[in-house]
Amino acid sequence: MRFLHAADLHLDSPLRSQALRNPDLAARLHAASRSALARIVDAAIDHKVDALLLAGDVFDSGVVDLTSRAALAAEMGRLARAGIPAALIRGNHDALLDFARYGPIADNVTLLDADAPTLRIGDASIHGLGFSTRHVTSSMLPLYPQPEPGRINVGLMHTSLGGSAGHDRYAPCAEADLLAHGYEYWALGHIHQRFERRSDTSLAVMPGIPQGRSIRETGAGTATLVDIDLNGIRATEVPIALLRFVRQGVDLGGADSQAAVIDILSQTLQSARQDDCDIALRLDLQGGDTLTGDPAFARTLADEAAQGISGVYVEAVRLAPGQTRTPPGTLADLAAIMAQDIATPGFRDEATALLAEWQKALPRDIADTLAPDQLDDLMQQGLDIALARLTGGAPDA
Amino acid sequence: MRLRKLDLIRYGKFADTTLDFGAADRDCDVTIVYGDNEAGKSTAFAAWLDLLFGLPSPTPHSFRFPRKDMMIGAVIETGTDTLTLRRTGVQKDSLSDDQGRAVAEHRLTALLHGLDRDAYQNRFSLNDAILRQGGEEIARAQGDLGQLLHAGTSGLSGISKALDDLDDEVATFHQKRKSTSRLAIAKRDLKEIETNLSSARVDPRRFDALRADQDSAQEALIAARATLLSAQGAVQLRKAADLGRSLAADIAAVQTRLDSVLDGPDLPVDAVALIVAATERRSAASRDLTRQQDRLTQAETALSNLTPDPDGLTLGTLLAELETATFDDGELLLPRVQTATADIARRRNDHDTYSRTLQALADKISAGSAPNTLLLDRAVLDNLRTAAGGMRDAQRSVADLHAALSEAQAALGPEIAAPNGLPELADALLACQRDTTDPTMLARTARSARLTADRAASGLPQSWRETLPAGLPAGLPDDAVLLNTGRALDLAEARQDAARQNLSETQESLADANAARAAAEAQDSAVTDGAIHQSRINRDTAWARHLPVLDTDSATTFEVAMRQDDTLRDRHAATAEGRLQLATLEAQCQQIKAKVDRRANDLTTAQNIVATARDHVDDVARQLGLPDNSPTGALRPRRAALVAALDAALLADAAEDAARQGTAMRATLLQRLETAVQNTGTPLPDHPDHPGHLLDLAERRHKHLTQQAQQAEARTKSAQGLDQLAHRMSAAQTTATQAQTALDAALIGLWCAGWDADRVLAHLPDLDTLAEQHRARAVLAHRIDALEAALAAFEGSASQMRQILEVGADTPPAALLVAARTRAAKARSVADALATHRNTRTDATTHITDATRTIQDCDDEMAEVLANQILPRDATPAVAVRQLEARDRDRATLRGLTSAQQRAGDGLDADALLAEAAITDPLRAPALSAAVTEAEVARDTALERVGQATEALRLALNATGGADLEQQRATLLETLRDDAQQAFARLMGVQAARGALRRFRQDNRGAMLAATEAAFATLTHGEWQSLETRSMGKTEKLVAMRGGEAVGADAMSTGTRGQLYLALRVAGHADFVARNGPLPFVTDDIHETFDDRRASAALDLAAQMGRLGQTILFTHHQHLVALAQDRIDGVRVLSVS
Repeated sequence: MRFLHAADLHLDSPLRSQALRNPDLAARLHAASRSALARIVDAAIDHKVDALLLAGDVFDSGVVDLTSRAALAAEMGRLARAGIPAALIRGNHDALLDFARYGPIADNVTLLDADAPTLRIGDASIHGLGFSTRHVTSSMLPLYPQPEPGRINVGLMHTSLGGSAGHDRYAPCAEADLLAHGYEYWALGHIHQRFERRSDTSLAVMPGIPQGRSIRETGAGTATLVDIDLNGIRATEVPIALLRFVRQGVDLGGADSQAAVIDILSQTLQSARQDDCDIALRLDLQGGDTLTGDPAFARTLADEAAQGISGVYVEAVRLAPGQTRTPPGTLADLAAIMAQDIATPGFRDEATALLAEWQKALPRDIADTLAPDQLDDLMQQGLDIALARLTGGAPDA
Repeated sequence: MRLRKLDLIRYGKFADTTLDFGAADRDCDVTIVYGDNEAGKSTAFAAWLDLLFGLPSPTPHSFRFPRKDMMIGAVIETGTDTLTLRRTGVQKDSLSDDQGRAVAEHRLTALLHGLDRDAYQNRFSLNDAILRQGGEEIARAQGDLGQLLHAGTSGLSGISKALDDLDDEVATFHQKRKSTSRLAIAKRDLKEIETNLSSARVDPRRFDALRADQDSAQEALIAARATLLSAQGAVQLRKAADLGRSLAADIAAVQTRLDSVLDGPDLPVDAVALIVAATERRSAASRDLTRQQDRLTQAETALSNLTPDPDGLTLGTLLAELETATFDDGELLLPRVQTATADIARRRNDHDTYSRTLQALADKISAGSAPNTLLLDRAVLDNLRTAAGGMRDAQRSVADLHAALSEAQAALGPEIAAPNGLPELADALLACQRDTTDPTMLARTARSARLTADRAASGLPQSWRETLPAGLPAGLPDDAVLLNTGRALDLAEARQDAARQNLSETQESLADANAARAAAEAQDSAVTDGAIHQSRINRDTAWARHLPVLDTDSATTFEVAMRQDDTLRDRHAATAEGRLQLATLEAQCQQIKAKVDRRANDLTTAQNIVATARDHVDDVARQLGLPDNSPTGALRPRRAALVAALDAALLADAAEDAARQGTAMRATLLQRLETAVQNTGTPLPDHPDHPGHLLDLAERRHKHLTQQAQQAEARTKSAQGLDQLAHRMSAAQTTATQAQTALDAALIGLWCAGWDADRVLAHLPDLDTLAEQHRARAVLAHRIDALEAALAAFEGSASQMRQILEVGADTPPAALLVAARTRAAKARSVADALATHRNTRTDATTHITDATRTIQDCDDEMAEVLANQILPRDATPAVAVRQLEARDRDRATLRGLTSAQQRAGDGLDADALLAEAAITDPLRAPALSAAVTEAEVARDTALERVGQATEALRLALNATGGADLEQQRATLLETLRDDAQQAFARLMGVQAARGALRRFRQDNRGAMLAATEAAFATLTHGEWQSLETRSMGKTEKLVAMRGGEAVGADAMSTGTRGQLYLALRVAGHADFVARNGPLPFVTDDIHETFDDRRASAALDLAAQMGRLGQTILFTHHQHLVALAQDRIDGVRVLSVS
């Protein structure tokens, strides 16, 4: 039997990156998650799978839009015309999977839940449970059906397993218990970073998000192709993402001119290119000294370096703090005084008040940008920018 | 930074002009650049600024070279490195190195420590106008005096602009109540996106609304359809009632018509068609019968008028045979008969002419012979031509060779012998001649080189060469390394001295401050806030104790406490100013203490740098064979001496080797030449005292032997030529014999056997002509035979034709043929007409039979169709059958009406139909139809609404939804997030920098004032001893003390104010150099308004500055040059012209 397993599509959840300021990229990534879904369906058809397994969070609770559901229905229709069934479970974002309210998705789509937890396809029994509540604090594993003897048992589960940073705790479950349940394959979902867990008789795969949405989701963006036969259980990654987010540290030590910095950045961007998808690159710069002390100027240099390089886009540029070094002399004295000043309670009080005022002025969605715990970083960054500007490292940016 | 060289490559009026400021190898680095007015001093000064900061746009110096071609070059010493730069007038990347590689501007910006063009020009590159303007600013007390004292002098002049720029960037992003800030604009954009988003999304509420609309439309459609059905039923009932009545009337009318027509059975289905067709066929057959009878009559008449001609037809046959008759060669008979008739006589004449010509030729070849006896065929003639020609060629060749052989035998002389040893002598002689070696000269050169090498090594240790590494001079430290290493140490030591001096001065300041604070503390007027507080407690306590008891002791105690408290408060109030001064002094002490610590750290750092630099110098010195702690100045001379000594020693070694090898080579060549001469058999003198004699002897001998060898070789070649001629003669004779044999063989058996080659060749043309003419006559005879045969063949048929035509034998063939063809054509025409008419007669007879049969058949068919019908009298079958057809139609209509009458009420309520039929209102039917129309409109409206609702839901679900807008929103927010962070960080940076700048200026204000004071005193020869600042409300002004009197800058003369401004800048320069390292101080004719006394003082000040760093003075006054050379030790003078 052969399955294609994906999870956490988060349909229509937007990509969060400045890289999309580039109009070409924005046009290409139009409705990126829908395109990722289309690629998943393409892969299912190309690989002639017996079923498509979607282990939760097809939708995103932040984007409640029935057109997302229509898009899913269109793709499932395409899958149906190829004679491939799909099995889904609800994740913690899947309110739109409410069949009672919005009707069924397509004839070939089966939503597994407590009332009908098992779908039989060929020699395989696919078991799954989903809950309509946003938070599930206890393990769902005991509720899963016992494996059916003589058949290939596959489980779909949306779970945070033992817990994962950056992800809600949802239907926690011990990995060992999962692998010991008697299913050959566990198609998991919820955690956006891909990983596999294996025992002698069972394989559990968390496929990760197929289309990362920000620099915090730097996975490869794949679905998992699963083959289960007499030779065992094999899992292979199938590329899906249209755009990958990549962090890249760059050491600019030794670059003694802007041209040299641009050259290094250009080489970095070139080497990041990939054939099957675009790359949004977060550049973490070090050692640039006064050449790149101002992030805006560093961004300008990076954009300059990106000219003429297709397929790679500058997501953002970050500088290591304390980059700007001033030559001995007046500016060094000034820098020392500045460093002393920002540590004084008076300066901090004034800065905190300003920060609160600015935070209030920002749109609510990004107010955390200027949260009080950011103050130290922002002050240090400000020091670096001012010194970079005063030492002439960055012309008007 | 120090300017080593300024290259005015293409700038202003200059082209390839260099100002070389030389190495910084003097105690005092002052350069006077002298030139007449308009010589270009100011241009050179501007070039320096343009090199540092780029060419302004537009530039006043592009009058000779276009801006894009302008170029300034400079060699700049940075203290650790040497930069060679080029500045061009192009807009982008105008700074490059001497190889044309782009150089980042920040390389210069860093060396300038933040100075921009204005700051550098105003503070460290002064001219008379700036001095005057600066003096006036001081006089007007414009601006912040603290800033005046420090901006530029401290290298911070560009900071304000940089911070203003940052402020602008912050404000561009966000400023309170600014509607055009990026944040405000972005928030408006966000609001718009969110508005569009809410309408683009299909959220559950909108989905439910769309679904409800669709359901409602469906219900409305169902109701409309029911209404329509009901209306349609009423109309149907009405129609049935009306139809019943109408059918009854129609049945009565049809029955009436049927009652009035003839009876009979129904016609067959196609009766009318059959009758009509039969009638038409019968009519056509009748017309055909008449026409065929006419044709038969005409044919009979024509046949009776025609007579056949069998002889004419026979003539036709004979003509046909003649026209197709051919000969064996395929040619037609009749054309040849015509040719023979015209040509045969002329051809017989030609044949006779040929016979006469042949006889004449036969007589010419052999008189009296018949031509046939002399004929030879073409092959025989060709064979004779070849044999006779070969014979004649062989005879001629034998004769030519015989003459040449006789001539060569006469020219051959006696035999000559070849000389011995000539090649060896030639080789040895050539080798000696090619060798230009002069052993004597080589030996002299080697001795000279060795002497030079010894002189170059003088002063070096004896074993200098053994201690050097291999591969010199590459193994020695590079000259630039030595220079930089030495300079690094010198610079480090200078900085160490400066740091030590700074520390000492700051420590002195601290001691002064401590002393001042101690003095302030020692004043008894100092009453602290704690003492006041305690005395108030004591007073309150005493009062509290006195109140309960109110006795004398407690009253006394309270009075004492009260007085002490009052006294202390009075003193506290009186000494407020002292306390304030003490607090200020304490703060100053702390600040100066911090400064002492920083300066101590600076000194430690400088000492470490000196130690490191010293280690580098010692390493390099050891590589050069110098001891540790050698002075840096010794490094480069030692390296130069080593390199020079080694170069000279290597040259000497090479010269000695060359001398030895040259002498040996010359001796070997002479020995080889001597042996070669002896081998030619020439005796040598007993003692050839000079190699020149041997060479002369060898050359003479070589010449003689060469001539002898050439003569011997020529005689040998002549003998060889004679042998070759004899051989060719023999071969030619053999060929002639063979040719004669061949000719004889060709003539055997011929009538001309025995002829020689010449006779054969003489008669060959006639024999060729004879053969050709004979062949032509034979061809002509054959043709005549063919023509005669044609005439004979024609005559065979012609006789029968003449008989039929009854003409005589003298009728020419052509006339006979014409007559025969005419008679034959007429006979054929009559025969053809007879055949045609006979055919017509037969055809007409057949048609008449067929038409008669068709008429009978049609009559039979019509009778069968109309059988048993009672027909109207006198009516044709066609008319009758149409009447019967109308009768049958009425019968069918009656059946249909009767059936419809029966069906009209089917499916309807019989009672309702009856009731409806009873209604006779004429408006009943239109009213019911209008109700149906109205119900249909309502149904269509409902249907359309259902379609619209369904389509709305479909479109909503198939739309992109809010995905794109959501993406736009997310991207905008991400951009805003980053911009907000950067803008706030900039805000923090600006705030910190501005605060730090204020503190910095405050901290350094005192030192700057003192330095300015010292410079001003120097410039004025001590006339103005000190400077002070005086408060002017919110600002301060600068005053100078002269003879104990304070004079404001506004009360000074213009010249003095200029001096004061210069003092400020000189002090600033000293401070800048102390903090940041050297920087050229450039003045352009600032001494123009100074008298000699002031100028001398200014030059003394320049000398002081030159000890700290580079000072460049441009002037067009020759006397200032002399004055400078007198007052500044080691001043460098450059001329611009």
